[in-house]
Amino acid sequence: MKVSVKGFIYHKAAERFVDCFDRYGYNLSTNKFAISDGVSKSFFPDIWAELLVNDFIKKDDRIDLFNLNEYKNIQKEWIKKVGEIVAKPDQKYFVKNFFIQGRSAAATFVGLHFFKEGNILKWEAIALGDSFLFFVPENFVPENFNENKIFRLSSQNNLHFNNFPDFFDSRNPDNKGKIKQKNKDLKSGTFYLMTDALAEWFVYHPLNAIEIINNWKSQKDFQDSIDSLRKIDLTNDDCAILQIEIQENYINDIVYDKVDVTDYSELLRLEKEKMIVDAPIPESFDVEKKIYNSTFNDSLPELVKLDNYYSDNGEKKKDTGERKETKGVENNFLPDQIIIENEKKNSEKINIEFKINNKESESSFLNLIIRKVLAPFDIVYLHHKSKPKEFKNNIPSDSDVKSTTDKF
Amino acid sequence: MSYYSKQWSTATPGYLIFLIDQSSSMGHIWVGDKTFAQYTSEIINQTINELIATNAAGESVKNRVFITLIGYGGNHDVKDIRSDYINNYSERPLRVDIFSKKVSDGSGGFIEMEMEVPIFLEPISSGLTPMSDAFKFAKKLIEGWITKKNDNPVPVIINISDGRPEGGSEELNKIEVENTIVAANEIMKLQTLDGYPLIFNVHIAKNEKEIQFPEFEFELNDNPMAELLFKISSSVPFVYKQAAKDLELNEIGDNAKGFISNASPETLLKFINFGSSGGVNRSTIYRD
Repeated sequence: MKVSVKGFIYHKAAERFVDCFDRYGYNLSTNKFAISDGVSKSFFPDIWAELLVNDFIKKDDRIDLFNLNEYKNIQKEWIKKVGEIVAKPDQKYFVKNFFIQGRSAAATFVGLHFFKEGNILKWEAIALGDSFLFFVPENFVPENFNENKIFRLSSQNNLHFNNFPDFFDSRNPDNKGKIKQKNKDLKSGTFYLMTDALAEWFVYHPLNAIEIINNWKSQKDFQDSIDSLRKIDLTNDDCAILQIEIQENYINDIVYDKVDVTDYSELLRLEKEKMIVDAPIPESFDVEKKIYNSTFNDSLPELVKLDNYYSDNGEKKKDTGERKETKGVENNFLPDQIIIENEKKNSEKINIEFKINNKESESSFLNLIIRKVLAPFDIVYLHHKSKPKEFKNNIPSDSDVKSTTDKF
Repeated sequence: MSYYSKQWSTATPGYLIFLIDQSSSMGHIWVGDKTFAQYTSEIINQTINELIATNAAGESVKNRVFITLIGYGGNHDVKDIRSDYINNYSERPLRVDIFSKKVSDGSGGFIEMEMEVPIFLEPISSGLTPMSDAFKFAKKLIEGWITKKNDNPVPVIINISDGRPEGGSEELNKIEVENTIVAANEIMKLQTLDGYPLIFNVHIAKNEKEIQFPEFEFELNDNPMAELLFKISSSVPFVYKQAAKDLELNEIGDNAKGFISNASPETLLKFINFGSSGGVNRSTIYRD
């Protein structure tokens, strides 16, 4: 059998690839393919989805649903990876809290395996949650469309797509839902493995979907098409698809032909590069170029700890590292001026003055400054020319309304 | 696209407004040694923290919802306690309480970690109950929201109170009630592409007979406060019915209002989770 593989992945509208929780993978030496959708309201679902996919495709053996030890090992790996993130210095309180509370990741999954049984080529698949495997036979004729001619595998029986699918859990020993498994002889046709948004669209518009999917020739085609479909009938969700076409070539083995699967890690890398180029530089952000350039040094720490800072009244405070000191509203609104200096390197003092008109971006901008600019410096002086706004003790005025609606 | 079908997302954030009664009666003891005000603040803090959790993407929080906390009563009449996207709440709580807890390290051992509980709302209980002004203020905010975000999910108001609107005298109380009805109804008549703004009300009480999601006024036993809140509550859209079921609240009838009378502390928690769920709104019915 001659096998061609295509695969594309795309994040939700108004988000980025780094926010995408869908994952897929394939391994031509084990003849395995997998797709997984990290449930967005769970804890580090992207790591979990990736672990499930990678563990499935790496092993040559047949699918074994009863190998609990293997499953526990993937769970341990998830705890280890997430634990490392949680233990990072200056990690945010909510990340630590959610880990301590025992929150877990959830992910739907579809795995497909080609193998030989005796002299017969077969396929076997498992599915949990609302990710789907569809198989459209080669002799499928749209004019004589009959829904039953398309095989589908998912644990989602009722085709009701919602935010509570079945899933594999990264901490609990039991999954939510029952894993579906199927095993059949391999015949000519096309397998489509897809996560829920695309699956929902495929289920309800099969003819249109097959035609459109077959026209996706590149990642750009895919993204353009998804952007258009979202305006009509595709739910705004992460989208991932693996399309595996099987053609008879009268060789009783798997022979791979074209393989064109977008590398998710490459998309991430490109996105990161673009973000650096596009980083916002307010007009009044007047910092010497050599300092600003240093912000794009990947070796900088993720989040600076302000060793010392000055409060409004000029009193020098030592940052004890307690959240109360650094996270309170009073201390975290954007200062009018920041003075930084580096004691160790004996460099000159740098003055940074801010004039930010768009208050909405105040918090994220301060965060950017701390992460990207202040990181290498030992001493940071925050100077506020004015106090944060005090609320008046009466019914809010129109200007109060405006100050809130300006944040929308 | 049918009404109430928009999902909270980064592209189309939801808008959640809590109207919080901070009048003097909220200072009465309700649960253990906690007052109505203290317990309500606790629940709202938990809810915001839960929204941070459900919108967290690893180490960041996605801005899928904008939250306004409006207090009415206290020494301030009506106050915009805080209005922010959820990410800003996560980054800047009012303060953080710290506890220690042992957790598994994944290799059979345990490590001790500090748990930091964020506080966004402090309890207040003094003064009258200017509910109508709170709704009037909420209306202005929603109008502002609709001007900018008309294509987003409908805004949702959750009003939590233990008593009737008060103006300071019997006559003023009456006016306050009428004004509250007018203001709330004006909000429910505002229109977005996703439907009409939703108002869910909860009347909290100690050891009174609880009535969940009434369909008809006669179910309210001539209780004036209940009748008022019934009048200013939206009908529950279909997409919220699954949320009520998941939270083990009573089944919601076809004509049910988003209102609970004489809610116990447990029910208050469930109701706020229900109101802040954004509904379960992903059921496509289109076909080729």
